[in-house]
Amino acid sequence: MQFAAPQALYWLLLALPIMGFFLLRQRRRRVAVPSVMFWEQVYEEDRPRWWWRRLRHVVSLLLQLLLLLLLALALANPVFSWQADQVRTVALVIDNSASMAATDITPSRFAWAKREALNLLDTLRESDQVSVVTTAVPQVELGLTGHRKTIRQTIQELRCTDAPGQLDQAMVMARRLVGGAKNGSVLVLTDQVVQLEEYSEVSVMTCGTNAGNVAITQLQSRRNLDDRLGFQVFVELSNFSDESRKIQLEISLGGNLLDVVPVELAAEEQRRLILDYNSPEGGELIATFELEDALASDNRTVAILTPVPPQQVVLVSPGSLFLENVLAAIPRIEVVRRDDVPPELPVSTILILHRTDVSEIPQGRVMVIDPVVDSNLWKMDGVVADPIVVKQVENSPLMTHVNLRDLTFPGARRVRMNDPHETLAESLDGDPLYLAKQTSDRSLLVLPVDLDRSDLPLRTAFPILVANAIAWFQGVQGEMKSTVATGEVRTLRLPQTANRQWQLVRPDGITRMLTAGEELVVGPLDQCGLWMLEPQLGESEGEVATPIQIACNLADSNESDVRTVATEASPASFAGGWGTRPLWLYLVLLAVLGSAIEWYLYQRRWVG
Amino acid sequence: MPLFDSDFLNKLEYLSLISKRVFRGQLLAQRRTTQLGTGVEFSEHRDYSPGDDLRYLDWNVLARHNEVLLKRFQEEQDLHVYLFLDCSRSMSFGDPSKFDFARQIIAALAYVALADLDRISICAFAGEIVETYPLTRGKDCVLSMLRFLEQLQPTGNRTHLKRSLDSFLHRQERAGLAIVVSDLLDPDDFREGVDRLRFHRYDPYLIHLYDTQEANPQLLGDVELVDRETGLAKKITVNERLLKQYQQAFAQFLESSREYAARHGMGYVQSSTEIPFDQLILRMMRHSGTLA
Repeated sequence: MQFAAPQALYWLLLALPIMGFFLLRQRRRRVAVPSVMFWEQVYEEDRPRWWWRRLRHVVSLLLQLLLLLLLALALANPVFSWQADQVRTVALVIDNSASMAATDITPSRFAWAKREALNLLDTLRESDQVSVVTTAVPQVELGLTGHRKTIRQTIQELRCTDAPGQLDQAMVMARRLVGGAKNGSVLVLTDQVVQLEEYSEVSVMTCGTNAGNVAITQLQSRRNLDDRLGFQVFVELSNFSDESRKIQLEISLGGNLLDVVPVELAAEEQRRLILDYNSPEGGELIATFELEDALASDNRTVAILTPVPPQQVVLVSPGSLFLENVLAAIPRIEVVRRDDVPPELPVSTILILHRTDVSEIPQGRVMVIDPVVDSNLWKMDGVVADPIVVKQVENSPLMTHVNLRDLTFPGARRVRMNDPHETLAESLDGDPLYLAKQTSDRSLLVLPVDLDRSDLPLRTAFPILVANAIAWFQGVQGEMKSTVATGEVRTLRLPQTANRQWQLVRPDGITRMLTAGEELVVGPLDQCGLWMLEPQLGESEGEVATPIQIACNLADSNESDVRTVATEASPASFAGGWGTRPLWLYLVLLAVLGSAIEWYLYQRRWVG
Repeated sequence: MPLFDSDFLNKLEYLSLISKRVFRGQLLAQRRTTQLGTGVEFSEHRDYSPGDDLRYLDWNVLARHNEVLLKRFQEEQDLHVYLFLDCSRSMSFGDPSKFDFARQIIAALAYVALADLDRISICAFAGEIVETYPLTRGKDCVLSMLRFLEQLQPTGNRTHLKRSLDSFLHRQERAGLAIVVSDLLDPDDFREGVDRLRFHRYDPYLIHLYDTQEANPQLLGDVELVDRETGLAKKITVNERLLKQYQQAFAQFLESSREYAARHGMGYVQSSTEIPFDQLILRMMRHSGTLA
């Protein structure tokens, strides 16, 4: 036998004062009474038990010494050698992936796994070492320890995630933990099918049923390539069951319901839908349906749709009703009319010069209509002799849905560009009637047409031409913010701010402070919903930074397909037998029993 | 502190006055004996017999009715009061001790009796008569009586009331009131001794004293009880049950003593040593009808 704390045996020295007190107590107190005749009357009745009265003092002393011995041994925490030899090392692999949230068994598969883990804990011996490993984002939740309270608390605090399980990696971790131990074993609590051919020390307990589940396995959205106000929604629906299911797929944007799409999915069918909508607004795009199936986390998905930003346009013109109306008709355009060219313009602002005598064309986005003087980019060379459009470029986005052929532009001016350019439309003599030039610091469109004398403003091509020009300047068509699957890690490039503190807000509202440089690695994202990265700016800095949103969905067919076959009860090899309780506990119980006997003797002695 | 100080003497005088004003003739005052004699108070007539003293012939009856009748008168005698004081060691128990309390009671009763011109005698006893204060009359004997009481000590051996009273009765004293002040802790039963007084036509009166510690001892655990009278030691483990049985036994002893006195029509008063002696005397006077 060994002692975990042999220094506790020093408590046995308390036997000396106990013996001393006992000997002192043996010297009875002498009390003078007037007469003992009444005492003799009542005392004689107990005389037959006289021998017991004499003995019970000795018995009491022996009991007290026994109590001291038991308590000192309990404090010393004795361990038998056979117990030390049979110490086991168990790694509990608890699957906390998304499918474990399935409610086909009450209350959930994950609750079953935690309950089984706690039950197993009760059957282990006191000296056994236990470790806890989770699978969703494979990690060791608790290293090897024999402290039951810590193990129990760790298991109780485990949470089920929406991330896909990585059971193989988790098992590698667990096997590594118990690898050097003499009696090492791994117990996996999961709903997945595990191949155990090469893992002799691994036991598996599987839960789950053949319950069906319908899931949104993918959701993406983006702005249209050819329509800056339109956007597309891509939805992938999967029916992981043996029977067909009807659902009402609801699409909402920014809290407003956009559409309800009835869908009937055949058994085992996977269907992909591409839905077109039109809205300059952006925000949280949600696709969801209501159906009582096994797994709820994949019935609702979320995506981020970028809004169409407002475009600043500065119009310098002596006045043109057609041009102004056309600009006003284009959505998300904010037109500012001026008589002169502003000295400075933001890079994103589009400048339209209509019949102005500006000789120095500024850099940036500029459209010149009906120029009247030479400039730094061109020279005027009279008027076009035969201003009929005979040729136009077809594949340029500037000419999409625009047909200028056979259109006559009376009074069109001949423009000789200094640098290379692209002629979008030209006259019979080859003079350019609509041209474009794009360099790294400049986007330029020139339309040398007198709108007042031409019938171009009366044609449907004119507003299309202007809208195409605005879109060409913006050059951001088809923008897309892809959604992220749970379990992924995302690297974000952060805007430059003075403060590097960012607050990560999980979909469930839990926040965490992060410190970042230019880039920030977020993840693994283990919960479905909208993750938010908010900059923590100082009050005096006056900085404005937009929060970064990340849409996260399950998007994993393996996790959504929750059908599985459960195994029976826990392996018998994990039962600890009668020695599950520590020896000191039995010693304390014996001490309690001894105390009860001593209490009885005390009552007999003093109370009667 | 002297046993009989000036305060004690004042109380004695007060008790004496009270006894004269209220209880005169009832407790210790002159008694009319049933013996007819030369008293002054008429009792009855009887027929004349030859040889009777003609001085007691009722001449008026003879003259009116021609009947010869003799007048009889009740003779008055002074009372003999015998005070028995228990001097055994058990009387030394308590604070104040039962012995001191008993001496104060004896002194008070003797004072009242002497003040009423009765004759008193004090017998200190334990296993037998230890000392005797002879029959005395008159208030001028008070101081000697008090000195007698003061020099007594509770050093007597085991109480034996029967033997002590037998020794007293052998002196063939004149019968009277016999007041026994004792804790009655007589292993041979105090009743036999008291019965001897009754049989010899004495009027016994028992003043039964005890200490509260005696009735309700505060003892628990392993103790060695030492009997004050015999010196006998008893090793005993006192628990609550045993203590309760003892209290019941002692209470039964008190009750049986009271029943014994009531059954034989004798005076009996029971008191702990906690109350002042004069209150006990007054209480006795209030119940003095039993003595008269």
